[in-house]
Amino acid sequence: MQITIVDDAGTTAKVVLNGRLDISGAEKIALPLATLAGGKRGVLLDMSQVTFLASIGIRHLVSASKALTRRGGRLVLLNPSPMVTDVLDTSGVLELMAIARSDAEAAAALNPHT
Amino acid sequence: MLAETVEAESRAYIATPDRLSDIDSWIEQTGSAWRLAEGVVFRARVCVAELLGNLLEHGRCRPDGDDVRITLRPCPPALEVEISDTGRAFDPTARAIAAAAAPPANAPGGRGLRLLGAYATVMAYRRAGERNVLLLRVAPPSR
Repeated sequence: MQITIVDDAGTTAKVVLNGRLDISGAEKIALPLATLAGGKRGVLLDMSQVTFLASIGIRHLVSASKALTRRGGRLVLLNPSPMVTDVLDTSGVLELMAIARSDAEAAAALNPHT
Repeated sequence: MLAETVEAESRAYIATPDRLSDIDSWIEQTGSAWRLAEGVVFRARVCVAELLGNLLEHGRCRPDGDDVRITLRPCPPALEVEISDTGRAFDPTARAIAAAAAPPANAPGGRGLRLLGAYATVMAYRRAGERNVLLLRVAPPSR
């Protein structure tokens, strides 16, 4: 799993994940994601290159989402694959985070009042 | 059809976090070689990841890593997976089925059990000596 922070200059950050979000992958994203979720208003997580997702990875997404929501922010997932989306849906966590299928949808989800 | 004529395949591993990716890759490659639907193989990979993750987090008996044997058996369009490990006795079947049936907010157990209960259409557990043996059948998504 690779995590790349591509933009964290403003109040929101964009992060690209690449690889398996399994037990090893979750360990790699834990600290950077928690740090961003604790300091930003919104986090856009590009999931298009995430090839696998297990519950230990979902745990970190939920933690980030809750940290953002507590401060009025939001976690938005950009373009997870259909199978990764199915894992999120089956886990019952989609009420806690938004899924966007384009940059425009992501921007709207991150800034719902603009 | 290739997938109707091949034998089962088995591998043995020492369950450590580093080996989980190897196990996952083997399941992915084997399912692909058997030409099973990607969705079936993906769900089987999730089930195995959840069970082994649970073993590593809660069920270790051996500090250096428990012994895990995984057998894959093609049953087109489904995939059967048998997981045998030397971890603490743990039968996830009843809790997984209950977790999958309940609304997320009220579900007993964690998300891993919920995924296991939702993705495995058949689950059978037995304790064989010092080993847990869990047989799963993973079928294609219905939606």
